[in-house]
Amino acid sequence: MKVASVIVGILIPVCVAAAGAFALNLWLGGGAGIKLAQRLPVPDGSATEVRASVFPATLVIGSGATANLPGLWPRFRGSNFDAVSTGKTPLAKSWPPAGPPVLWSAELGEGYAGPVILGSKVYLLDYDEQKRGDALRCLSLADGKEIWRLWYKVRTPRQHGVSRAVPAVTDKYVVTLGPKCHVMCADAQTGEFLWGIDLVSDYGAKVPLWYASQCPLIDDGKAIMAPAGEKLMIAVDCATGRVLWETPNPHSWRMTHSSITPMEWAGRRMYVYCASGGVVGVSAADGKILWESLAWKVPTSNAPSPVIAGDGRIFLTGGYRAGSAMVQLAERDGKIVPRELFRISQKVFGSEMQTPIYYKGNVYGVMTKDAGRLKEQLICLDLQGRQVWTSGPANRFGPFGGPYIIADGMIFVMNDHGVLTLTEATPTGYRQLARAKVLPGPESWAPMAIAGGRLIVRDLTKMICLDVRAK
Amino acid sequence: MSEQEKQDGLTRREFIRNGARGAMLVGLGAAAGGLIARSRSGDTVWQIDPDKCIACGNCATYCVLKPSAVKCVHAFGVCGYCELCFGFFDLQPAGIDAGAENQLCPTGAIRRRFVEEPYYEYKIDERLCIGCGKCVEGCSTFGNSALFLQVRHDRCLNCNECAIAAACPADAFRRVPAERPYLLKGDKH
Repeated sequence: MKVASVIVGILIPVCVAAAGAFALNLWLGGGAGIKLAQRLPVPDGSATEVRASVFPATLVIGSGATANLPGLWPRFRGSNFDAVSTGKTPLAKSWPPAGPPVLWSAELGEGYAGPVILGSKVYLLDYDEQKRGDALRCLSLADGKEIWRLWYKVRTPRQHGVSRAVPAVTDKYVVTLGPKCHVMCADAQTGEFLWGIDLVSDYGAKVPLWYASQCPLIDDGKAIMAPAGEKLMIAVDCATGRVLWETPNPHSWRMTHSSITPMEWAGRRMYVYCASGGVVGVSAADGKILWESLAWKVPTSNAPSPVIAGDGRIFLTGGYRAGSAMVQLAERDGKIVPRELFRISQKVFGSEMQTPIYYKGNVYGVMTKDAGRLKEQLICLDLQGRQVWTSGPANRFGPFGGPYIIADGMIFVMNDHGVLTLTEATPTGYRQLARAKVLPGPESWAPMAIAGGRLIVRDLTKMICLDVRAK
Repeated sequence: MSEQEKQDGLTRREFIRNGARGAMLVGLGAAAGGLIARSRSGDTVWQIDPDKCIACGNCATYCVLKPSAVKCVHAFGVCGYCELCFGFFDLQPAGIDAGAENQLCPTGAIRRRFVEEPYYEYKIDERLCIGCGKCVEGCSTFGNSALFLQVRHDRCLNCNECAIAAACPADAFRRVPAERPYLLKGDKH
């Protein structure tokens, strides 16, 4: 009895404790089962680029001649910044199987820069891959031959092509913004170099990822652009190159791929810009900030421009799951206040690269790749952000949607691989009129331009002029 | 045994015996080779169709192997070598650097290397890849779709009923000829 109690009371606990200590020793002494490694933000070896002066630019006269054509598509998204043609030329509502007749074509450096048209001239900021420089090319609208080119040397390695932004042109001036943030103004007729600004060196701008796509604006003889560096926005006198006003950048916002859009509201003219951290309205008179909203920002990269949708409304959209939002300006205590009317997810509508079109009370655009079953479809929205119609699964227009414009009541929409589709621009439904492959592709993403029934489209390396007039 | 045979160090009997052994070995080798060849030709293995894959994440969890026999593959010819890679970085990275908080990959299986301005190279470390497809989803949604998933046949057990194939919501798994076991991107880009 005594022996048994000794075994139970002392020996067993001692043995169990010894076994536990042994097991603990084995466990602790055995080393970690998993090796952990830290993932730290170590320097990757990249260096800050040394900016060389690129101006003045060099003028080269070509063999093209000026014709007598009344073209008018003078800036990104046309005369009224809305991608809607003001032209009166009746356009064809059907095409031959091979597509509309090709009037001329031009080989380009890789990129997505779209053209502008004024009179009989076409302007485009191309990249000369042989000379390694941005080249403002002036072509004849009649035959595509080069009248002159004004170029400056800047090494810009291909990164999804090189060329990006659409120039702005008036009778007197043409202004460009290069992929590496060089702004240049030239005489629109002769091509003479007038002035240049390096937004990185002069304003501390940061070249956006995949290069700068901001399309400059000429308004009342002033070149308006957003360096979003030391200054948020600047106005430069086109005639002299003198800076007329500068807008402060209190939040240190950065440049995006979005372009400045003019807007008239309550008797005031303003410039609306989507910067990296929000949206801002800047007075056209003196560059003062009239209003701002930090509520709208697109992660990663903001490419679409603000869409002015009447009655103080501004439609904003973006990719990277930003979706879309509608804000409306209101006046409160003498201040302009942006009020958000709605916000919708990318499954309802979002656009990564192209800017939607506001047309007769509806918004038209192409859905992003991450829109679920509606991905890459053309869509019509009402002003409450509700889907009116979609083009259906048989009619998708590529992950970067479009480009698209409206002319003569019809939507011209391109897919990624040079297939051009013509549909009615109506909220009553998707009604396709014609479709043809007009470019070999790939990456036919550049904004289109149309004037006098001549539609200019491009893919990565080729630009063509199509005759889309009614016969 | 003759004196000559003794001098040569090989008896006739030994010669015959060795010859028979050699013939048996050769026959055995030929039979085995034929058997292997017969089993390989016309045989099929599992593979993922990159055009159907939706990078749902099932490949990481349903495979009978841990970690999965499915790994990410990089088509360098399709890649844009971007500074901000959507297969490498979170959609809203705090910074564009290789800090863990900025990376999509839960195991840090993608190596990022600066090549020259503005290019960065991204390489998969297969030892760390678990086939979760997070990078594939990012790359295919916002990038060039250069990253995609493949069953790696140096580790796949080629189960008769593949557990991942059974769970695949996109019907992306299919049998492919064993002599061409991969469905690679790049040839049509």
